[in-house]
Amino acid sequence: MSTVISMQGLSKVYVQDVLGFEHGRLKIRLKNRRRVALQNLTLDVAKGEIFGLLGPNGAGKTTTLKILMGLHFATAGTATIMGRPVGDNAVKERIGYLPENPHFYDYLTGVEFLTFYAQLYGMSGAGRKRRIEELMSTVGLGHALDLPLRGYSKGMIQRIGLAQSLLNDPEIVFLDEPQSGLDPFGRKEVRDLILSLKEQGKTVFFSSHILSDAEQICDRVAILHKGECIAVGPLTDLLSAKTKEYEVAFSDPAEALLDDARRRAARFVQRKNEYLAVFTQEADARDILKGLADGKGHLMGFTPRKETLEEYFIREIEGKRALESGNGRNAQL
Amino acid sequence: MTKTLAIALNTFKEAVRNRVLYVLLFFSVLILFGAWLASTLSIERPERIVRDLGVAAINIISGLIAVFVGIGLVYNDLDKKTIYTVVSKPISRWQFLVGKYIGLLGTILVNVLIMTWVFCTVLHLRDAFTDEATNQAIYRQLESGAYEYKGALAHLGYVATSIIGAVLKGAANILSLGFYSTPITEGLFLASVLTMLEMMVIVSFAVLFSSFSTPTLSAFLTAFVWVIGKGNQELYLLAQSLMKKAGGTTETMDASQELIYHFAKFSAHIAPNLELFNQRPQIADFAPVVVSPMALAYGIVYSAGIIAISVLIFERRNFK
Repeated sequence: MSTVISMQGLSKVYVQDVLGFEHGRLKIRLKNRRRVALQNLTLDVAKGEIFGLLGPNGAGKTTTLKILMGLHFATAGTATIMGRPVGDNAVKERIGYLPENPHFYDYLTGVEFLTFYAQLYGMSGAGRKRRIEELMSTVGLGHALDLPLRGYSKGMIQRIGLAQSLLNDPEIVFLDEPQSGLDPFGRKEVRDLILSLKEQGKTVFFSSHILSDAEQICDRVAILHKGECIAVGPLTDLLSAKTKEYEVAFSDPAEALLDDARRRAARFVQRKNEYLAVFTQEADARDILKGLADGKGHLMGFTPRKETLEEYFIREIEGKRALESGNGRNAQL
Repeated sequence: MTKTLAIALNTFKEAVRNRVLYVLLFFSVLILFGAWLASTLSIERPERIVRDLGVAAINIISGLIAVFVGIGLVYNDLDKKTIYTVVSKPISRWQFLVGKYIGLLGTILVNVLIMTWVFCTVLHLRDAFTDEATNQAIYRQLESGAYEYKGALAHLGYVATSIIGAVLKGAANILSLGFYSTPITEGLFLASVLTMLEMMVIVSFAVLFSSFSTPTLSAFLTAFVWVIGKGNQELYLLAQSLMKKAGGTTETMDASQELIYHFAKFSAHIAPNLELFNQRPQIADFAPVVVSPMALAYGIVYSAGIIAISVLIFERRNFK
């Protein structure tokens, strides 16, 4: 597998000059406010994979994408796309980009807008017209060709944003929070679209804080927290493969079974005559299931649960936070 | 080149969908008709008044369009983040900025042409509706020597044909690039060409300021450059006369004089000399208007320089 996106020690520090103001004896001075948005990020993305850049808000996901798109300049480190430096026009010819919460020229109609962007790729004539119509129907906007963008809903803007990122039939598609602001139905469509891009052999690099969406489609992920990369790898490696919890749902239990279940369960929920018990040990679940099989109640459902990305995420970030506060305390002592 | 033009065309579309533009155009039409009205108050040579006022109105309204419509154009793209998807397409940042500049200049060109057309039409109407011309058209002299009114229908016909004629003649003034002109519209097309040269410089400042500061500040700074640029020769003369009065040295000046001297001298040197594009005295006096090679070269070189500085700033900045 060849590497198509490579980042070496990428860092970004925003320096803002703020006019400081003190009232007593009136002092005005210029302060430098430094904010580290990204710290020493080293990542390689292989051709044809779906790569997810995950993390909470303010983790540095958008900054990473902006640097890759040549919108921001890295303070340190280098980034290359397909072996060329970012911001190179030859690179831009072969990639597509959808920013987070995109805004477009809202006085243009859908077709005018895509025509304008297609001109920036140097596309012209009948091929351009065909491509635009094809894309509009792919993203489900076939009915809104001549509607000005100011009449578009948020979901429709997101869709036309996807369409503009695919105009040039790119080899790599960069999507910043492609599913934010979409309803569950729209989220599924975006997911399907990303998967179909992979089928066409394209590389997809996207950021998200909606972990469940990433979980279902990513080949590999990187997890960012406060500008630092805290984990990279295939999801199966990051998440513990073994089953973590067993959920047993049942109703009308015998008194003994109910007591037994209540005593052994890590969590226990009752709703009228229905019960949900969550066990951490396989043996516990097995015993209760056996009792139910012996007629001491009705089995309603059984689900072995693996660790989700969500849980991994919380575990990693909380571990990090605990470490930081621990360090802080040590420093104070 | 086609990519730069695509940006320019889109900028033009954005500008013509801006309501401020129409408000300003509406005002220019009011002022141009107002100039006709004002000229009737003049006892001597009313043509002087109407021509001078009209050319000044076109100049000022174009400047206001440059300031108020122009400023938003680069800033809005940054503010609304539309620039993200534009700059990530295979175009360079300088192409984006130059495209914006050309688009805005195109918008102003169209507006200057429209205003010049309206102005020429006003002047032709004024010619058609003098008492003499009207009387000649609607009265017929009988053999007895008395005059007879030709009737309301003939009168209305005269008014209608005069209006249509004035509009068409105005259009002819523009479309012939000033080669066709009646005595009253003589030199007006060239005056508008000079206004356009002036706008080239002002718009380049609008682009420069809006490539790094907020719209309000850029509007203020652009307007400042424009005003200083127009009064630049007076400022220079002021500095010279202050110096002469003080006997050739700043040491004998008091503090306020010295401040004014330095401000006047600094402003006069740093601001563009827009007086080069002003031929209103010639317009008022019906003297030939000349677009000198010096004015042409100054406009082109100065604005190219300012755009080059804007590009240097723009190439290096992070887009928020």
